Amino acid sequence: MARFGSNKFKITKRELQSILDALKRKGFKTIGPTVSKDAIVYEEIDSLNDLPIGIGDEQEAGSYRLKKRTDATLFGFASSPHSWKQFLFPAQEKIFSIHQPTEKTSPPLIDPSVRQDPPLAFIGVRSCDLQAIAIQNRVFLEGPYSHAGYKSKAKGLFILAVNCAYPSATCFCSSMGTGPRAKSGFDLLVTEILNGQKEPFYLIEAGSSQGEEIIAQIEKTDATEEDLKKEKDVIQNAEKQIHRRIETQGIKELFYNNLQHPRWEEIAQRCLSCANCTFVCPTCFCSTLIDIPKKAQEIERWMVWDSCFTLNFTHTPAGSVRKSVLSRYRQWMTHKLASWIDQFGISGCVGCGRCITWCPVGIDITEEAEIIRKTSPVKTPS
Amino acid sequence: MDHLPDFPENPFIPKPFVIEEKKRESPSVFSLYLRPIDQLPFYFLPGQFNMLSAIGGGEAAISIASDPTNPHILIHTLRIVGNVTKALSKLDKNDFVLVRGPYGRGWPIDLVKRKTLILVAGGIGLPPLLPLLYIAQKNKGYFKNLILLYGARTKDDLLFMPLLYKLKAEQIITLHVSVDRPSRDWKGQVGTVTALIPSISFDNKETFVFSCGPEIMMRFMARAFIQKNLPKEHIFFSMERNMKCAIGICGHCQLSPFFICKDGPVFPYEKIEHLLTVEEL
Amino acid sequence: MNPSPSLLCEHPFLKGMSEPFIHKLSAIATHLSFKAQSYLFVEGQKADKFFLLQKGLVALETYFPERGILVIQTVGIGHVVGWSWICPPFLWHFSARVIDPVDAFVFDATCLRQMMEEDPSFGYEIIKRIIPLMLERLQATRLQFLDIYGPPS
Repeated sequence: MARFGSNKFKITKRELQSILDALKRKGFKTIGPTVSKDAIVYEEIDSLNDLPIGIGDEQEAGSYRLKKRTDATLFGFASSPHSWKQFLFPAQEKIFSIHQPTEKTSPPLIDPSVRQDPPLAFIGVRSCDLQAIAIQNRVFLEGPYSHAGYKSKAKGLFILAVNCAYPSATCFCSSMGTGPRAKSGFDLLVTEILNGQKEPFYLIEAGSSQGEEIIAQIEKTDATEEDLKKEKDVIQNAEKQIHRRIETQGIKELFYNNLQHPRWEEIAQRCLSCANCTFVCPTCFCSTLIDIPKKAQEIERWMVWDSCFTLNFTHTPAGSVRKSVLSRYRQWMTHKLASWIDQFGISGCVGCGRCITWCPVGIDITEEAEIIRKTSPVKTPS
Repeated sequence: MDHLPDFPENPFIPKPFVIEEKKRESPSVFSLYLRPIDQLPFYFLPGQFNMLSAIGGGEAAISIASDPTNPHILIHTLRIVGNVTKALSKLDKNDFVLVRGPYGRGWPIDLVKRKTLILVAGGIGLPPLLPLLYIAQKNKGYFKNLILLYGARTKDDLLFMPLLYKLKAEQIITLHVSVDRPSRDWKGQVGTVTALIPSISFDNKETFVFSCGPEIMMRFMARAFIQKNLPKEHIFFSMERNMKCAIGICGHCQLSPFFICKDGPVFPYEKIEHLLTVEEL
Repeated sequence: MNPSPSLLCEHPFLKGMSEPFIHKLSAIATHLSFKAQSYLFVEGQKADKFFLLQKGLVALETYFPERGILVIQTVGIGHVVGWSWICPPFLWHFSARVIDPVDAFVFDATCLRQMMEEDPSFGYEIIKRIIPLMLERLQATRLQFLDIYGPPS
């Protein structure tokens, strides 16, 4: 893959809008952040004015608030309760419908749902979420079988990424090696730079040939040394704002060696098994298949999100294998941070902090990992 | 985005098979003899499984119990344990079953060519081992010795006894059967299947064990063989968990890092030994 | 007629036992065959014999009111059939019925107990071999009654 990004350009909000327009003209469904019911969510957007202009967020364990900023940033916030996975891997997706002819000796007819949806363009993807998309690509596409629905959506995907400038208190991408600066996996990468009393301006670079094509069409100037320095400052300031961290050295062995650590009991007393963390996590991929009767003689099979926190998620005919909340929380956390590495070669966690923010009782995965590491009877290198 | 891998098929689309025959094996166990509507042969490896569903009944993972050398008829033996198997049990001859597969890692049959193979089956764990018995029947001499230790709760839970006695009479297998609960008309051994192990003798270097049954049975069985100095690497289990996608992306069948559907269901004992005694893993 | 020491020491139970001890055992042993459906011993009778199974299959059974006689467990080759001769009151707890014809070494348990008392090192050699068999039997019995085969038919 050719190395892009050496050419950085400076544009204004107007040119950014024209990029959005160009994508829409090409037939993309443009999805971006917007405010809805006191949260920033990802929905279809028409223009940059749909974005949370001058809106930031305050996040902590179990808490999420929007706040008004004193500037006109488009991307002045961190993660949201939505992740991009809901568009590539929808919460509910029809796999096929099957029609049983009234003549009983005639075989059933299976109609695979082949949808011709417009290609998707994600606007404003953070580095952590870029890594999350890469992880789900590995889960759903690499291996002897791939998820056909995911593949068709991921194939035409266009990503306009954004370097994170205002990480929240729950972010810990830097210790996971996934940010705040975006390194790869995007078609275009934008950094929003404050400009005193004027509107912010943007540095933009291409990350693919498709991105290059779009950039070629817009008005821009070359980024100056000063611009590049300002961009560097934005990123360094972002890094400084990240206080939470996870030590990842030997983390797989750490959890494999501590499956019976007493801390799990402590966490289990707080965990409600509500499954919020699995729904907001951008890499969680568990699902189930259900058959739904639609009308006489016709049944549909759907794939829907599932969560390892449900009681019967894993069972044998003798019953649930993980009856206790302890075992289910342990399953989620050790899968995310440890066994995922054995399964897919990389960690399942991207440090976006959503699970910390959206846990109703504020369980903090970084805090728990640190406690287990500090009190592990088996010493793990760090 | 640039490049993504290209796979032509949708792995979630099943194929309709027609039920040629249905047999009741015991009060809660029945067998389906299936033929695909397109009449194509169905090839599989012993130890693999299919996802089966009655139309609208949801899918379940069921081991393939047919003869691998006869790919024209697909046999599944199921116990009724939940909604999916109940829906399948209501089907009859000429009804249709949706089949997806075959999936999973099967028994390492190359490893046991011309060796002594001891099969240990508990309860409904016999069907996944049947393909091996058919191989022995059709390829006399494939195994140097084939021994079957088969245990069940009661005499009424024993499956395929006529077939097993026939294979015993034809000297294809050495058969040891035991039931946990006695009954007036059972004249055979009474006790757990693992109690049959101390009395069989074998050459450790040339002997392998394939086992399928309740996890607790397999754990104690492995220990009994290891106590007789059988190398750990010679023992293989077929594990069971609920499955939905069968291709390692729905997450249900995980046992620590392993997906039972694609890393198994057959596992070398030494690979999973340390996981079997962790509660609720 | 007593079984010869050379025959006795072939039995896995007596593997590794010293020659003098084998001789001691040979003096109190008989080598018997039992037909199918005959009894090695009957519940409640005096437990004065130590049975070492060489060949065949034995069912341990007892009488359940309203259910009749049921087999608790079967015992096969290499095993000791019945432990009641070891401890007071020396009465058989179950009956032992032959399923497959049995060849067994049968030792006079009263003499054996006396010999074990008089010579503790001999006694230890016997107990050392009995305990693993009891352990194996205990583990197997536990598993047998754990109902491991899943949901009821």
